[in-house]
Amino acid sequence: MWLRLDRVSKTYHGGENPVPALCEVSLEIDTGMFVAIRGPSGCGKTTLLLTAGTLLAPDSGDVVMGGERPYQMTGDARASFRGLQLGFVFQQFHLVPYLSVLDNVLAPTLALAQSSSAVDPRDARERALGLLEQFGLADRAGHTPSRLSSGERQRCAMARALLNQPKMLLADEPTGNLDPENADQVLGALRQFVTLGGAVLLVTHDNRAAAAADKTWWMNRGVLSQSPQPETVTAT
Amino acid sequence: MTLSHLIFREIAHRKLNFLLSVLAVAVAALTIVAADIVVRRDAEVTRRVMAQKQSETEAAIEEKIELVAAAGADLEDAIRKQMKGLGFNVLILPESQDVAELHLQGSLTQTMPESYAQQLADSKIMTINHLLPTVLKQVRWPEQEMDVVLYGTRGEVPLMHRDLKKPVLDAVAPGQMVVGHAIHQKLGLKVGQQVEFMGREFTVSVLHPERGSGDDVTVWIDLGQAQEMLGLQNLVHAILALECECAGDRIAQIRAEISGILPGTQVIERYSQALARAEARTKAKEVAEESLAAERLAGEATLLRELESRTRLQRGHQQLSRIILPLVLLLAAAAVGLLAYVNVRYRREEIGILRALGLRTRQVLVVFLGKAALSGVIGGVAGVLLGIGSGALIGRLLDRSEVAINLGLTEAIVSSPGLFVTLMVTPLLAVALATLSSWIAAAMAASQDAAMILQGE
Ligand SMILES: Nc1ncnc2c1ncn2[C@@H]1O[C@H](COP(=O)(O)OP(=O)(O)OP(=O)(O)O)[C@@H](O)[C@H]1O
Ligand SMILES: [Mg+2]
Repeated sequence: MWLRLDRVSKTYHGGENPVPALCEVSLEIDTGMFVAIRGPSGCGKTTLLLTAGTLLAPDSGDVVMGGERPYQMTGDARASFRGLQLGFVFQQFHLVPYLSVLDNVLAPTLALAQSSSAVDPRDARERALGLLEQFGLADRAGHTPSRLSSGERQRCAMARALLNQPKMLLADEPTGNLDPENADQVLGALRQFVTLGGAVLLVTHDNRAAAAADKTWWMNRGVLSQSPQPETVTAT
Repeated sequence: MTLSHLIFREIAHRKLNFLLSVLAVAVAALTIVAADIVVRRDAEVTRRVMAQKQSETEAAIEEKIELVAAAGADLEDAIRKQMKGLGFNVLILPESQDVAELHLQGSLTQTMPESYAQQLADSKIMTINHLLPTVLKQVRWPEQEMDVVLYGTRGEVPLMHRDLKKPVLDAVAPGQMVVGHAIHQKLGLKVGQQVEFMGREFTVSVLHPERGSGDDVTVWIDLGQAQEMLGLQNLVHAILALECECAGDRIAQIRAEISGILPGTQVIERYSQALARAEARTKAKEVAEESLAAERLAGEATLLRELESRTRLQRGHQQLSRIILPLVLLLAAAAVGLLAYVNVRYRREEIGILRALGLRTRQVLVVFLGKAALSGVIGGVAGVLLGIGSGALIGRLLDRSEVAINLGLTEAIVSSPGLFVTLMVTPLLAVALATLSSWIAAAMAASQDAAMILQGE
């Protein structure tokens, strides 16, 4: 198993009352798997994704990825690990507003700058242009994100997530701001990534998006259940 | 894709933030350089003002020096003229000589060895000059049936310890005779004429003009001949001398000195009234000298006053810069820090995604500090360049003196090593100021929790 979470818990202490966002969550995802996690708003989906994405340390439990324990690494080592192994796609795209589409796609190479597996900048550029081509953005390479449509922005974010050829994509409601056509395009790209041997963890409350996955697990109040729960939330 | 590319794109995107930051740094750098130039200009203005004042006082002193020299020359001239007219004015006589005899008869009876003159000359005597041993006796000129004063004289005895001076009186050669006015008038004598005097032949060599003194009834002949004729071989009646120009009670000084060398002699001074005139001239010279000294003092006082007022002005400017400079630096640092903080707040989302993409903490720091350093470099260089110009301007506004207003950026200011150091160091200071002021904001950016940002939308 490429990713393994073992009895991972996380409680937020920011507000007046502590909010338990993850309660002893255990899951395993291997390469070639496309897993969707569904659940109502506030059930802990994003928390789970960030914990799996090495960005949010759990209070307890074990996180193992590609045989390594990222939360036992130094901050810098974890950042490099993240930059090399993981790709993120968010509902809000999170493109850097002042960089061109091409530079946004190339931004992940910054993380490689000092790692041993540094890529040739020309290779990165070629791969970036190939990805833009693939996502139908070749003629928008020089534009800034503000001039793109939502669909184009999310395709740009997809291209960015794929640049460093990660092992796993973590997608948080990637189709939430998209029309069905663009949503299908993004889901198709995720599917293709899995076909090529990657792993995808998609969190969503969208029925349609979840349908693209091989497996759908359910989350409710921080508790993950891997058995189908057809009766409660089927409506979109 | 590099961090510097990221920095430049962001600057181009949010120009105002960067320009304001550059402006704040530039103002700080400008203030440092301008303050330094103002202080240096002050020093240069002071140097010029002092040089001007110095040459003014020097000119005034020069004028006084000329006056003193003129007074001195006058005095010297007067003394020379008087000495020439009066001849010797110090008379050294044997102690036993009754001075009344000299005054009543114009002649002397007591004698002393001629060698006394040599003894004086060999001593280190300071108060008199020009020693002349003489015999001086009232005699009857039998051939002419008249009474005259016979004056036997010879060349001066040179003083050993002095440079040889031009003799005041020329010696009378043996066989020659110098004749006083009353006598040559009465006898109708001519120069070159042969006369017989006490059975000896003499040639008249000089006829004196009227002097209105005993000189008018005197004949001068060689000392040796006179001694023979009077039976006074190797004896003299008096040694004549010329007193030095000394201040104070000169006759007392002369007496003291001579009595030490030649005991058994007395000293009298003649013509002291005429010397009073020389004294008056001495006084005039002294007055001129005093006024020169006063001028010097006044000049020094003026220079000192000017220097004090310039120093006060310079100190005032230094104090002003000591207040303004830290204030400006503080405000600039605050402005740069605030702008950096605003920038970080703006870029939260960007920081979150860059962290998600794998950027390390240090790289985030570099993004923000690199930008700050760049604003420091640009602001520093711009500030230095503008500071050079405004330093002269501010200097003119602060110091309205004519020299200051006309003083540009002179060689002396521009090429001073101190200013060079300031110009070199200020951009570095500017970079340090910008970087340190942005440090808190950059550290905040680097320590932002990406998870919080990515979640909190
Ligand atoms: N920083 C925080 N401090 C306190 N509580 C938080 C914090 N972040 C999230 N929570 C709470 O934790 C719970 C889980 O949040 P999370 O963002 O994981 O939910 P979600 O399933 O992603 O919701 P949504 O579908 O609306 O995105 C929520 O109740 C949320 O209010
Ligand atoms: Mg969420």
